[in-house]
Amino acid sequence: MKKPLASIIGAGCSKFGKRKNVMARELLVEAFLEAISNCKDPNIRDKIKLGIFGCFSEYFEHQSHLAPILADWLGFHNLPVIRTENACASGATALRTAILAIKSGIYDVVLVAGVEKMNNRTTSEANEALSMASDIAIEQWAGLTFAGIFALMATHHMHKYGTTEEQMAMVAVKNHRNAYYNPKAHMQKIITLEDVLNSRVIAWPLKLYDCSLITDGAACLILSSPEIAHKFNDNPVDIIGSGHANDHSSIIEREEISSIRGIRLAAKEAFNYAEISIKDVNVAELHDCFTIAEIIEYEELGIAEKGKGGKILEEGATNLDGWLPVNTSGGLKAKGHPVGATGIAQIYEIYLQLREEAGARQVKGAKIGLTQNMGGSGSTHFVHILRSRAI
Amino acid sequence: MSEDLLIEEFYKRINNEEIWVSKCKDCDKLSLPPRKICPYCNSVNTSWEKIKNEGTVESYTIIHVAPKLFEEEAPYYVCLIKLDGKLNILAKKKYSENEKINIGDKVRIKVAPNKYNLSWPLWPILIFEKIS
Repeated sequence: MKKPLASIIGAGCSKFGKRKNVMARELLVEAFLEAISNCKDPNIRDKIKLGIFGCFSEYFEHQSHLAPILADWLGFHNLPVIRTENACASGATALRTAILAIKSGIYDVVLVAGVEKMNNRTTSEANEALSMASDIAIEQWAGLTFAGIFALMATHHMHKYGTTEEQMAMVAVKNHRNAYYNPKAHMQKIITLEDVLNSRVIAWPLKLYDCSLITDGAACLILSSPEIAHKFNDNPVDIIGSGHANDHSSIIEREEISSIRGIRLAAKEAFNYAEISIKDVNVAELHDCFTIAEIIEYEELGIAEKGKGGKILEEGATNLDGWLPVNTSGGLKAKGHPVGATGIAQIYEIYLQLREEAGARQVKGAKIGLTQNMGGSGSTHFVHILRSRAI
Repeated sequence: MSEDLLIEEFYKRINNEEIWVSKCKDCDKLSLPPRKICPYCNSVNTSWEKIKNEGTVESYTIIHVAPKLFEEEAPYYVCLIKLDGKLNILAKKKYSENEKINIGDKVRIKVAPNKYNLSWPLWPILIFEKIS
């Protein structure tokens, strides 16, 4: 067995939701305090030598140059820090950067976090900020929102493969059902197929309940090199694969409208490193920014054959009791999608699952977990694979 | 390589009759907006190419919740259109109960003036009409 890339020795996540009267830095304090509470070394703070923070937009809090502010509020006044931005994959970008920092041998304990405080703005303003992550020269100028871009994928997938609005709705119903058991989720509300199908149209065929939430939240990890992880945590979780890929920046140049090649490429890199396949994965957190995205992701990750992503939902393959439970946290759809935090919050969920700490949504005996985080309309991609040490 | 293979120039040249894109002389592929580096083979052996402004709808959406700039125009279609069987473009059209759009429809690209009082971009808007 290959040496892991890095190990997670602490993980924390703030309550997700519409967090009134709290700023991004304060959300991160919540996540950070939980993360360091996992570490048995009381001096863990002094061991951290680098901080990497994923955050998407300056717009929400009218705040650039966020990394030193976040560090300051966590109590680090002499720490090299970086902010990473890759749209909705800003969080996984921070993680990947931290892994590289550890693999380089220069750092052995690194703080990684993601945060977004979106609800200072109206929904319309937040959508405006999000749309900046699509291509101004072509996608934005055509009047597309993010929902619109994924709607183009959905219409194509429906036409070519026979995917239905009901199958897309099943993603929302499943993820809301999982979120019901996640006390940190933005919406702990069970919904029905009819709720989704009857919700108002945002960008046909996508309706309100096909879309992820505009959420405030933060998540935080402490990584170490694998050799020293046991000094900080009796049950660390190893990162055994990491993949990072990109694709053409706009939807008009992709190989197929309803395929997302970058997911496939990132997964290939991660699986090659981990020397496992999707069949070995017990639990996964996928980037369900829109219901159709989760369906396409099944296909790109090999959970379903091409074109059968909708079908496997009918079979319950990705339910909590299916062969590969997906988005046990509730996903972006119901746990919420504080953009910069998402990639880290996905890892947090897998960390809980692999440590058997996920409560009512625990996947029994989960040993290997996968996260997939996407940025923009399908141009930035990350896949990470995690393994329990208690195998 | 043509020095003016630029996005600004693409939007300057496009009109109701013609669309100018970039063509890679090495792999023969077309791109829009035009680029100096071919996005498919990275060749810089690229030049302008005029193409027909007609194509086929490959996918579509109906935007109900629009970006601020286009709020007053919703609902509207945005279609991904394959031009002349060669490359894709996005264009919009006001939604109408009387003229539904479907995949496979033949359409023609047109331009509408930019009336949005912006400092930038000053590009025209790409719209489409159905060819009956």
